Amino acid sequence: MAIYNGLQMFGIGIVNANTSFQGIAVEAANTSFQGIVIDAHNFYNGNILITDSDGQAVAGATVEIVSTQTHVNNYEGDITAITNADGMIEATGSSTTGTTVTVTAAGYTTHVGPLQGIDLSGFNDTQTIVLTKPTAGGSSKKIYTTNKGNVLINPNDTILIELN
Amino acid sequence: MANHFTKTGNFYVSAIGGNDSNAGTTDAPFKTISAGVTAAEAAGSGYSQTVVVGTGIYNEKITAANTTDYLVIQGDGNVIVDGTGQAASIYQGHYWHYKDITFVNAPVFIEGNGTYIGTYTRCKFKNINGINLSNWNVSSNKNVKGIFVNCVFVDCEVASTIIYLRYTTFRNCTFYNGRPNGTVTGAYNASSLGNLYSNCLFYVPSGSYSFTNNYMINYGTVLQDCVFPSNTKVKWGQPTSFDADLTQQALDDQPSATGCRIASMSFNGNITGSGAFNLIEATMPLNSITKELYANSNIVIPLGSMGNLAPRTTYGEDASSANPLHTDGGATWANIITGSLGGFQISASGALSGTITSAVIDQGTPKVIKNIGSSWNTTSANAAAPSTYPSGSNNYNPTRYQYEMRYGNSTPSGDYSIFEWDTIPYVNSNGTGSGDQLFDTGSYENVLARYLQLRITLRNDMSGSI
Repeated sequence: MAIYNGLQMFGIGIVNANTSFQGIAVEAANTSFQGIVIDAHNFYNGNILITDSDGQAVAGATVEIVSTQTHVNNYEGDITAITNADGMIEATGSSTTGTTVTVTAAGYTTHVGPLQGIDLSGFNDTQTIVLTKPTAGGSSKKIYTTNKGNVLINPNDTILIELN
Repeated sequence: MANHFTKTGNFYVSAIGGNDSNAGTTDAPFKTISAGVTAAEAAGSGYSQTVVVGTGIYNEKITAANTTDYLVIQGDGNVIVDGTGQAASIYQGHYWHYKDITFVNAPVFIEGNGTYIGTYTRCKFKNINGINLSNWNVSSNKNVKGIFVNCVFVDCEVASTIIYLRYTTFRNCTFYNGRPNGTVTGAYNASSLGNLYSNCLFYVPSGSYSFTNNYMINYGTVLQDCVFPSNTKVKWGQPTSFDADLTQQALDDQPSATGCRIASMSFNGNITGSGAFNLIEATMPLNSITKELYANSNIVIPLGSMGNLAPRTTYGEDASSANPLHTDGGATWANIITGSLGGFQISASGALSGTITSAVIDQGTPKVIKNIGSSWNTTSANAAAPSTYPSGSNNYNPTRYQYEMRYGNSTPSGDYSIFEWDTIPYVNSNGTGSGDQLFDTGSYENVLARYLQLRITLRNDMSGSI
């Protein structure tokens, strides 16, 4: 133990003498450590597919991807694109954190939601967003309570009389 | 001393905790891969046997007893086959399948005489003389055949054009600062033929030859969805002799090349020193160039050949306020200096270890940590390495290369968890890291955090007795 402590003190003493220290350090240090590499990402790498509720591609939809990220090490990026004939846009470079996707298409309800999915492989993600159509006959005036107290949906907006 | 194997096989090898007089079990592993191979060949007549190789540096030539058997050599952890002083990395093993192994420093990759050179999955090659073969039967009836999938080749320059490759498949492979067939000046063996390169990435410095091959149409060489860097040269012999700067037009005009692209590339350059046991220099940084690469759907798939090499953030030993490993950047060192070996090293003569406690690393937003790798070298293989000193009763567990990390979405504090270099870090519900021997694989999740703090210990003893 005494020898061990002596070696430690010897080392500490040499710290102040840089030239000698380097030489002894080479003898003592068997391992040289050059650095680290951190693989951590939250960028989206792949496509976004827009379909209707039947699974059919929606071409011509406008997709806006807006990220709140500002850090230099992120793949932040705001993307606006129109879906192609296959209902697809390329979204590579977007972030999966703090990101909002807005999809608008004629005849469909506007979709607003996050960009989901972190594929640890980092490649070829495809997120599918399903658009819905506004409910037909959704106006409240087309829902009637009959004279007998039953609720009926009447898309033709006509007066209903329930007979005995 | 437990050896913390995570793979399952018939025989086990540990350069750090093994002994060739052992039985080759998980608790009593062999010390050399060759001992494991010998036992496996004897046990199964050379068939259907798996040799699991644990973390360590194996300075040996893996030798098969015959040319006909089939084994799986499965790396488990950071497995480095160092060919320094050896004639080759492998002798024979024609039908063997190597998985998750790094081969470094060999004048010849594989020597022997036969038809096949084996299958390689997720293997890394550094400073190997090309894919060089020795004494191989290359007659017209017995051609060399091999398969490389998801492999990375770094600094594997072809020093000689005597040997050729035939009917070898490279799928999702990266060639960094080297080429599979040919020299830096464009020379090649005209007898190489029939090789397939699919989703491969070829990187060489500007002005060098990134690809050379004689037969492109005849004998069916295929370049499929590959990516080449800007400002390089290629040379091929037919159908039209071509020796010039590589252009997109030249690729498009080459009938054997389909879906190939030229793109600017950028690699991490802030790691210096020998770094013999890593391939960090072949990783891509986060910058506008790599962002553009990833944004190009024509390039994304070939870039898959980079696997977990891109994109990554690196920190070296530079004295900078932006470097969380350096005291100038807020790190705390115990028995550590940056010295003549290049990089960090243990400062005190006779000290058993030195420790770098990094500054808190702010990633900007919470991110899934896919991998944390290290770059290091040692003059005392299997005795010194970057690993941990687990506390208490677990202090017998230094048999893998490990680091400690604490993390969170606010400034991390409290205990560090143990993880293993160059693997995906997972954590149990109780905070046990996947590099800890007590890690339970029953229920775990990824590490997702904005702030990281690492504790890196350089050990001069890996015996587990401390």
